[in-house]
This record gives sequence, structure tokens and C-alpha cells, in this order.
Amino acid sequence: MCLISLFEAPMSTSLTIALRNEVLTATIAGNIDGQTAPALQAQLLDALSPVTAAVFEVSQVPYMSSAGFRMLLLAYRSLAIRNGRLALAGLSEEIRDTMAMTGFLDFFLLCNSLDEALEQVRNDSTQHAATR
Amino acid sequence: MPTLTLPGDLNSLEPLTDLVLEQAELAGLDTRATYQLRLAVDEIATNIILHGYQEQALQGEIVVTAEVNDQALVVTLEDTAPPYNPLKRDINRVKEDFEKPLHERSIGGLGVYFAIHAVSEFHYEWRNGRNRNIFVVHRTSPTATEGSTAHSAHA
Repeated sequence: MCLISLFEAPMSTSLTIALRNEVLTATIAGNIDGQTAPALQAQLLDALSPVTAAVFEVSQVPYMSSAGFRMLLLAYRSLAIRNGRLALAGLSEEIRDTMAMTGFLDFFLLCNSLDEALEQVRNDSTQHAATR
Repeated sequence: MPTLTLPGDLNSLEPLTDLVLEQAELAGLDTRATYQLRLAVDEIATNIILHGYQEQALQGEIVVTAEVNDQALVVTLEDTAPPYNPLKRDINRVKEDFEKPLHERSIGGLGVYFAIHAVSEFHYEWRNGRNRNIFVVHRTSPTATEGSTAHSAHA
């Protein structure tokens, strides 16, 4: 099954969602801030509700404020309830810094590429559940 | 000294960021210090717009000034929303959350934490009926990133 949805948030931030083999891939491009996060968040949470494994491809996200952290927190919770896993692919160094500073990093699988992330969440969802 | 007067709505975040990035470059801040300053200013501006103006059904402006001197880049945000001092927020409560699993965390406070810790100095003043949030980033030392490097770990 393959599902694709596309939407444009303000400031040309965009989201592309695909579902392949029960793994959700959300490709986000643009800044995630107080202006763009609410619409992104609503779309992502909606898309996450039927799955237990997801990858957010964020290599084209140069900036993420606390509004984006809130979005990640809610996405994590949505999956954790069902023992699901969430991987972030292509996280920028600056965003990684701010996530480390606030204890966010440990909760996500971090991968350099989308392919690596897809492999990780697939392996992981068969092996163990979210523990923290 | 560039000054920008922006309407108190979320569309102003982009021109505000543009000014901050331009001034950071002028001040010769490195990539990391620039990112952290942008984050700090964006967080406070977002709070002013959402909580200071929109939630109170108030209209108002944000006046941004940026000044580069020998020691520092100083960015000031001025607004006419009700008095709000970000430094009053219990940052220790926010920090306690950093040790907790994500499903036990409360959702607020992170923005203010970023605002205060991402810059060398953060000041708040209430003057002539206006809030003034002042962000200082030292030009000579990488102090702006101490907060993050101290905690940055593995991964």
C-alpha cells in the first residue's frame, strides 16, 4: 500500500507523506517554527495514528524552534503508546545540538540517510519496544 | 543601528529572523552562535505574538533593534503586550524535565529555556509601558554555546 499526501505550510515549508510496508515516511522541508509547526503537527499526528514505525526525513530542515520540539514530543508519544519507533534521518548539526541540550536525542533513532532509517525502524520494531 | 517595526503576528517571524541573521554575520558570529541567537529571538518573539497579543485579543507591534559594538551584538525586542518577564519562569522545573522520559514531560517552558540559555546574556526590562527583551551575544568568546556543549553527549 502506498499513500502520498502533500501540503504546503506558510514560508514554503512542505510535508510529503508516504506509507510503504507499514512504515510511515514523512519528508519535511523548510523551517519548523511557531508559524509552521501547528499545521505540520496536525498532519503528522494524523498520519501516525495507524502505524508503529515512522521515519522523519529532515535533511532539508535548517531550523527548528521549541514548537518543533513539541511536535516531536507528541509524535514520539503517539508512537510510544503502541511500542512504536521513530527515526530521524539527516538531522542538522544545529538542531542536534539543541536536542542534546534538552535531553531529546535519546528518544529517537538518528540516521544519516532515509534508507538507513527505514532499515533501523524495521529491525527495531521486530526486536524491542521503546524503553524510555 | 537598524530598527524594524513589525506587526505582532506570526508573519513577522521571517523578516525578524532575516534581520538577526544579517546582523549576526556583520558581527562575525560563527554558525553555532548565529543559530542559537536566532533561536532565542524567535522563541521570545513567538511568545509575544501568541501569548502577549493574540491570546489577549490585542493588536500591537514588535520593535526590533540590533546593535553591533566592539564586544557584542545586542538585539532588543520591544512590545506593548501585558508585562511578562521570561526570567520569572522556573527554569529549574524545565530542566528537571530534561532528565525525564518524553512521555512524562510537560510541554511548556522549552522556548523560554532556549531564549535564556542560547545567548551570552538575557535581560528583561519593563519600561514606559513596554516589555523589553534584550539578547546579548559576545563577539570574542564562544560563550553562547556553553550551555549546549556542556550537555551535548553521545549520538
